[in-house]
Amino acid sequence: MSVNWVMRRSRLSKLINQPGGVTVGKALAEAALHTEEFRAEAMTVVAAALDELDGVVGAPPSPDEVPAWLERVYFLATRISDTAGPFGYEDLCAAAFSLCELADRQRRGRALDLPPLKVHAAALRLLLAGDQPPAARKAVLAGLAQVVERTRNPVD
Amino acid sequence: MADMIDPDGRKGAGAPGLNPNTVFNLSKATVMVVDDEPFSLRLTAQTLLGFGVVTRHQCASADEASALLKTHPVDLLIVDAEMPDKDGYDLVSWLRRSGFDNAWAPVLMISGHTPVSKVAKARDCGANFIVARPLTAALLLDRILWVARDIRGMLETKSYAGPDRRFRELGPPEGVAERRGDPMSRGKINLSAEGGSAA
Repeated sequence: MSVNWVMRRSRLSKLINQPGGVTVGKALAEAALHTEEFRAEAMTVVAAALDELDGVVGAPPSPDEVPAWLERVYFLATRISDTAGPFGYEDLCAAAFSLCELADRQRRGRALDLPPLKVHAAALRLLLAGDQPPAARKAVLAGLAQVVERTRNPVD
Repeated sequence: MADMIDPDGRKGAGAPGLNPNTVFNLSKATVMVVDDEPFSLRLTAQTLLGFGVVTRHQCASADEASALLKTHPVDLLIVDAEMPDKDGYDLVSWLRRSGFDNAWAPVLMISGHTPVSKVAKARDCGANFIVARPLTAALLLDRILWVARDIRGMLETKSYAGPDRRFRELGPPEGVAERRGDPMSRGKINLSAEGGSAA
């Protein structure tokens, strides 16, 4: 087997050590300032995705629509997770990630199992409302983990 | 709205190695961000602005990025893994074999949930590091600083083009499990060009 090695230092590694620059602490403070204005928009995007998810899981697909339908559920779950993540909504992200896992399994198994998807959509709504104490949110996530575990494919 | 777990984002989850007093300079680095989600694209670009990055190329698709990479030198790519049509893995695989000046530029792949069908593709795409979402500013900076210190050689074989996947010198970022727990990846065995030696 032929292997070609390229040993060269990246330009980034040289630039990053040039005189000047900023400290990590200052950079993160600056980044927080620059991104804070996005928080409200992020939550609007999340709320819209969740509204659409509610609509999707409320309208079960016909058999030939299942792949595209599951694709949409997966897409909406990733949108929620990706958008809420940078702003520290970790429980919301965890629930959305759990829904990604579930939708991906059903997609691979080519079998729709609606109730666990509905449970996830309801849990996301609850977590987004944010009026639950930390212990209750933790219990919600634990419940979702059990749901996902119960629906594990034999091949996983 | 949900409570924030990390309200100030300065000690973001998954970035335990960041020292607030570490000094770095990204003001002259050209960074390309590739993400099909307009909101995430703008957010990442704004975060980079906070890090002092002046030149930021924002691309909404792998095709747009490919066109720019042919003609514009880039010091770091931050690529969303999941994109419609040509995804981030396809883009990086193409880049590594492109023969362009940017072919071996450092790449951070940003991944949310990785479908089982894409695990092998993710492993073999040739990115320097795959960063799992949720992507906080602290986590992104930690991984940028790590990749800037990444001294692994690039290798090209029939089936793979990208950084040596063994973390022999630097080790993975703090708090990240090694892909393999073998002695070589932990640096306990040093295989030089002349021969091997065990520590």
